Amino acid sequence: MEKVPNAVLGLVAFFFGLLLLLVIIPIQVEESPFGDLHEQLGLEILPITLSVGIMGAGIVLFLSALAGHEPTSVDWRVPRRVLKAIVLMIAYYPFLVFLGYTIGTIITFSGLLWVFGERRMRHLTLVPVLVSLCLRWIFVVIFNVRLPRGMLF
Amino acid sequence: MTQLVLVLEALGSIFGDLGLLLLVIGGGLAGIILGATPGLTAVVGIVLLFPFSFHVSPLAAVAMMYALHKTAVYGGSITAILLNTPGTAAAACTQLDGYPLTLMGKSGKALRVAAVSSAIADFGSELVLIFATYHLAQLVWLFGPMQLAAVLFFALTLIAAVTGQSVVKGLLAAMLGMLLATVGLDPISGGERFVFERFELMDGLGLIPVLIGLFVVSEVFVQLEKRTGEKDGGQLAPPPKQPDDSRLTWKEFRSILPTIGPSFLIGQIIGVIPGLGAAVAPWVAYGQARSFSRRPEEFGRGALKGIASAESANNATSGANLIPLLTLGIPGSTGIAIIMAVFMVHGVQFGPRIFEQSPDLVYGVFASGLIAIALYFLVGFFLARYVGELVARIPIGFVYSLVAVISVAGTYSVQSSIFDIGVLVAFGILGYVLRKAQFPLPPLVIAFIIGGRFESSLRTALMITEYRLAPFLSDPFVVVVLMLTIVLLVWNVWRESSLDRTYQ
Repeated sequence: MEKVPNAVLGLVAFFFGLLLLLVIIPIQVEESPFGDLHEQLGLEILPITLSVGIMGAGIVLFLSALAGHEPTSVDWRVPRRVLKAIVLMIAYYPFLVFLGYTIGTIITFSGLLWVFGERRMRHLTLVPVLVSLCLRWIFVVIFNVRLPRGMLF
Repeated sequence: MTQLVLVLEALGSIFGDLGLLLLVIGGGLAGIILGATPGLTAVVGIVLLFPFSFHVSPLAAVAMMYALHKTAVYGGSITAILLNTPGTAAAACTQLDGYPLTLMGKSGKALRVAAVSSAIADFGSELVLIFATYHLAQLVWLFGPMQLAAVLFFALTLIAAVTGQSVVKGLLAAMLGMLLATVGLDPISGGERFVFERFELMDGLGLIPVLIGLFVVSEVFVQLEKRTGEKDGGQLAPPPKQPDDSRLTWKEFRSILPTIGPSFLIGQIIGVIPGLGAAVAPWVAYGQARSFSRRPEEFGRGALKGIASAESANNATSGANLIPLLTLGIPGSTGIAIIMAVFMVHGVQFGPRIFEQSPDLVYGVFASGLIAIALYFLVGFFLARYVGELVARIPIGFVYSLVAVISVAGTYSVQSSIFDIGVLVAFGILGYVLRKAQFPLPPLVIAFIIGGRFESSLRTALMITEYRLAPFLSDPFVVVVLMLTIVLLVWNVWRESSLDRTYQ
């Protein structure tokens, strides 16, 4: 098994736990509204225990990876088509905000089909339009749900 | 007998309500196709149905999902036998003897053995569920918050230790899931935790965007990574030429019966243990059937007993998975955890009270399980080859693109929140990264779902003991459970290191 990726993961887990314990928990776990010590302990007990646990597990993962005992391997290579799909899904968010559901879905669906290897123009144009309109009909008419309308329209 | 009467009444109500019956049948048929399609598991189907559960009654939602969950376990065997591609991890064992039979032109026989053994074992498992769960649930009345916290802790550790290849990664995933469960307003004191000044996080992270992101959106990325540009689907072997090659004769049926019994028991026992289940049981049952066989050399070369053992064991887990949920509120598998989440959003409480407070729901779910078994038996016995042909023709790229846009619309439909879409995409990417790094997702999801319950039990217990730990260690039940947890962890670490030595 490759040692370095799992050792790096162990370190990431350790520093994440440390960040939680020293920075995030003190800021993001509110003081008890009643100022009660026990209640404050109650609020913090699980996050603190978990952050310590994550640090501990991170160290174990780091050491077991270096010793060659970690049974899993990590493949960090991300194919370009997956990166494109991730970008498309992230872009779907502003599409929905600015263009609305129907147009946003046509663009994203068409993009995903392209990433999955579809190259026929008719499939890349007509199918997304039909799918988007069908989904709109199902959600709006059958389930009576509002879908994002978009700021530009 | 009361349970039998209640189940019969529930069956009567489902058959008396055409809409409900169609939802159960639709869920069941969808489960067979999802189970048969590699990558599209029952979990993906159940998660995608989750947003729609808000638009139907709780019974319709849970019955449809349970039917889908049940039939998907069986559906995996169809493509394992016909295409040498198991639709689910559970069906990988069926493939060992199923595909060789297909190559011999006996795919019909293999499919029928799978349908018969699955249905018999699943029916037995459903009967155990119907008759035993109520009585087991009564034992839970003996539990206080301290004991419940200990049992939940044990179950979470068990799930974390056994679901992945690495115990430490399983534990990290479970801790991350529990940390995510603490986001929002604390239910006891009302204090804010990890809200980051976003009012959308006051109620915690939404179950639906988290689950759909982790399982569905990440699956789109994973499937995309697996694609190498080859044609969609697989190549079906030619259909049988001799009529006998498709038939399951009475003699053959009698020969597989002695295999179904022990395999059912193995599936039942493994299915009750949270975190194990359909992916583990068939291998244990297969090994047992092979070692007790007079002709072990036939296993792996088209032995009917091989298919019968694998299929009866994996389907016997599907009813057993519900037992820990209905008694202790601990989901036995990821699919059941999501069904539990549906129960929770409809305000249904778990434990022994569920049988008194929501009997229509519980027995309705049991009845839908029986309908699902009958449905997949009929489809499996008479139409399985057509399902295989359908799956072989599914344009995978189109399906996953569709799944991605449906998941976004479904998520938005629940709260009309654009913030939820951001959470969905973020958890999709997180799920993909975790899967790349071989972190198991079930411990994360199950910890996220039952984390709140664990914390409230623990803190109630701490309040009762005035924040002292000594009373925990003086309770014999808690001590036994904690000892079991330690033993289990040590054993799993030892097993992992001995496997490591074997591979080296």
